[in-house]
This record gives sequence, structure tokens and C-alpha cells, in this order.
Amino acid sequence: MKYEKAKLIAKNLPTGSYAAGCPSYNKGGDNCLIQNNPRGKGCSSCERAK
Amino acid sequence: MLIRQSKNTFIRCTDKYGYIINQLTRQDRVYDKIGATFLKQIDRMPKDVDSILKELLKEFDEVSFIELKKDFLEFVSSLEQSKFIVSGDTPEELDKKDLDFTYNICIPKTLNDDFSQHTNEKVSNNTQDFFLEEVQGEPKISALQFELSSRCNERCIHCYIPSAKKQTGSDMPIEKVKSIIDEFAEMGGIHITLSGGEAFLHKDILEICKYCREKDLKISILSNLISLKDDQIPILKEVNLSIIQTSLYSMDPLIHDTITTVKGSWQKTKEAIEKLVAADIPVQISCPLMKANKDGYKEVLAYAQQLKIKAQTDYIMMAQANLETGNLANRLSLEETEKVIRDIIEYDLDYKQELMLKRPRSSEFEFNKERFSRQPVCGVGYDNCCITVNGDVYPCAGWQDYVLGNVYNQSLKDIWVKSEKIKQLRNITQSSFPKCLDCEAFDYCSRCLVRNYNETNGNMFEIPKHFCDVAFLNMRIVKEYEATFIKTMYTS
Repeated sequence: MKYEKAKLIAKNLPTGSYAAGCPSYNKGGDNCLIQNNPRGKGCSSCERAK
Repeated sequence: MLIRQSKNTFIRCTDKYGYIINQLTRQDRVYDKIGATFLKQIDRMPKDVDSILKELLKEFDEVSFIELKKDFLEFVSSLEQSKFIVSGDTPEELDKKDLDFTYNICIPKTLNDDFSQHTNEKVSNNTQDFFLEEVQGEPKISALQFELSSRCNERCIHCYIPSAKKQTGSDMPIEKVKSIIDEFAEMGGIHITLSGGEAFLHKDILEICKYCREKDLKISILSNLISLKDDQIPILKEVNLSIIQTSLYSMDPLIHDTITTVKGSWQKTKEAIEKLVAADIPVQISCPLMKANKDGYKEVLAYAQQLKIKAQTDYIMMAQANLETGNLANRLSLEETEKVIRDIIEYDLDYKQELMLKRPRSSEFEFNKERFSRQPVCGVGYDNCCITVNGDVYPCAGWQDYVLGNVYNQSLKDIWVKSEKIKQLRNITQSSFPKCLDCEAFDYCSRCLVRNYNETNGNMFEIPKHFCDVAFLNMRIVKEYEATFIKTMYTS
């Protein structure tokens, strides 16, 4: 394999990582904790920078 | 020098990229192909850096030992800085450096809500967008919610699982559970959530937890905890759970027991929570709000705060998985929801601060609406699915009516790759909700396919009026609050 220096290509947002498991620990459903936040954001868009 | 991954991290590598996450800090990273080759050399057993470098030299052309060593040590140092790995001269030193979850500090890791990760390297993408976009052609499963038992020892009045199912419930045989776990692990899965019904009614739950660890899976459990036994707690600690999530509806035993319809359930759940906290096992309290507990939830939040447990509420409520909407009679009205939202703004100091400072969530990543519109609505069909006791595979918690396939007839992989229904789900993007994209209350709304589906007799694209009403309500209250705040700033 041709060598190049390893590159970091993505990391979690400061609001957490849905990819690493929803920051609210549960995806959707009755227990989706995102709903607690009046500024909605919603499932998956929760970690989006606005 | 020795290195090993932290007991809290999980690594998955493909031919194209390498992924590492930490369940304690909830941070993650994606590296390119070369980084993946590096990550493959790091595992749970301590390894000597020089021996790793010798292995790596065999992988690459035209690189000197010195150059490779310099780059690898830089790579290792960056990972160690964010607690993904530990390094030292002896295995004992590594153990000492590795973090255990504990409540015996001011702010346990589970209360952290700032997941910022400093890296010297510039990064232009975030992990979620990377996965949603990178794998759009070939989605890779990451999370599985596993209903171990369809039996339940509570009959909560708002539950989205119909009571009839709990009365005639059963448990999945452990051999079948293990074979599905094997398959999930082989597919590259990371997160497994053990649920029900009631997960602890499965007699082999501890063996299943241990098996998940053997397969290097990150474990969460959803449970009401009323059948948790004292002698199970040390084993739950040993398997290093990511979280146990439980519902506590009120600090008034009568209200809680009225919601669960089981007398004495409040006492048992509360005692179990406290035992788990004493054992330093991460717990989270969910307090879904409904008419019965709308006045007492703040005491639950205060109780959680006192124990340093993360606790959250939910005021939306989802209709039942069999498309019946009877449980929604318990849902808060708009007026009651307004009171709750005002309470949240008033009493949630973090949220209040966020509103007042109006700080951008990140200066590193910009929100791009055009890009957003091409992305999926959520991880449904992209990175997660669920399995019932009878082997039905369905897209997301609460969506048991939307069966993608059955693991007694097909492999999980076949369902994940070939199911026509899952392919249809993968065609849904944010632009499938064009009215929402241009809606004034866009920022105050959460679009959820299963909530739509269950409440509209099976139409995932039809948004129930209540959800839009709540979004507009949120917007009105937040804007009103911001205006008051600005006025106060000018007058003071």
C-alpha cells in the first residue's frame, strides 16, 4: 500500500455524535430526549450545527 | 512503550475508513484508509509500539521506520489526548490511566453536554454527515435494539406497545439471540440495546450481556428495573454498560404506580436506581410527560439532579405500534405543553444560557440547508434497526408494524441489504418533506417517520397536526422569551 500520513476525516460535533449512538442514548420513540428541547432539532438533526 | 484501546472505546475498520468511539466521552473519529490500517493494530490487549511498527512496515511501500514511527506516535498521541487509548510502560500503568465511569466526581461523564473534541488536525466533516453520505449507496448497520422478551411486568398507560402483546409474551431462546448477535457483530455493528417488554424478565440477560462484550459490542439496556436483583448488579458493572435507561414518572408513588398500573413499582424502580448509582453504573431517567404526571415531573428532575443522574422529559408521546391511538388520550394538550415548555426555559439553566448567549453550536461546521435536504430524515434504514422476540426486524423503536423481514426466515444481513421496504426508507430524505424545509418553524420541529406512521394509520409522510402545533408553539415561546431578554438587556 502506498504510504501517506494518516488523515482524520471526520469527528463528532460539539453537540455530540449520533453516529456514536444518539447523544440521548435512545433513538426516537417515546423516550427521545431531544423533544425536551423547545428548539426542536429532531432525531438525527440534533447534532447539527446551526 | 505499550498502548491499548481504552475499555470504553470501540474500533471498527473497513477497507476505506477506520472508526473509533468512546462510550464514556461520547466522542468519535473517522480516519482515512491509512488511519484505518493504524487503528487495526490497536486492540484491547497492550501492545508494544515497536512491534506494531514492524507489522505496519509490512503494509506500506516506501516509508522508513523513522518516518512511520514519527507519524504513528503523533497519531497515538492525538488519540490518547481524547482518551480513546492509553499508553505507558507497563500494563498496570495502562490500567491506572484508563477511566472507569463513576458518580463519585462533581460532574459524571453522563451529565456532560459539551462533546467538543480538540484536535490539532483540521477536520471539515462531522461523523454523522460522513456516515450518512459516505454509506448512502451501501448503508452499514451500527445499532440494534433487541427485544429479548415481549413479556412485561408493567402495563404503562401511554406505552406504544399494545398491552395484548405483553400478556401473551415470550422470550427469545438464548441460542437464537446469540446467533443474531454473531451476525450483527460480523456486519460491523457497534451498539446493542437490550429491551422488551422488560429485558430483565429474560432469564439469560446477564449471559447475553457477557456475550455482547465477548463480541466487542457497546451495551445499553432499557428497563423498568423492578425485577432487577442485587446479585445481578456486580455483573452489570463488570460488562461496562454504556447506560441503563429507566422510566420514573413522578416522585409521588401513587402517580407513578397509576401510570405503570403496578402497585409498588415506584418503590422498586427508585431503589434499583439508587443501587445502580451506588455501584457506579451509568443510569438515565426518562420521564415522559402525560396528563397524569404533568404537575410532578420537576421533582423527578430534582431527584435525578441530587443523584447526579441525567434525566429528561418528553412531552410529545407516540401512538401505538398497532396504529391504535387510544394511548394518546394521556397526551398533554397544547395548553399543558405550553406550560411545560415555559417551565423548561425557566428551570433548565443550560438551555436558558444557550438561549441568552445565542452562541453558534460550532464554528467548525457550518449548517448547509441544501446538503441537509439531500440527507436522510434520521438513521432509520441507514444505521440501525430493531428485532422483536418473534424475529421480526423493524426500522425503529415503536415501528413494530413496519416489518422488514424475519430472522427466522432470512439472515439479518439479507434483510438489511435486500428488504424492499428498507430500500424504500433509504429513498426518503429531508426533501421528502418539502413543506417542512420551507416552514417558518423548521428549527423548532422534529420530523419523525414512526411518530407520523403510528398516528396517521400508516402514512409516514403525513405529519399529525399536533406536531406542527407544538413546533409553532415552541417557536412562539422561544421568540417571545428572546425578545423579553433583549428588552431587559437594553433597559438594564
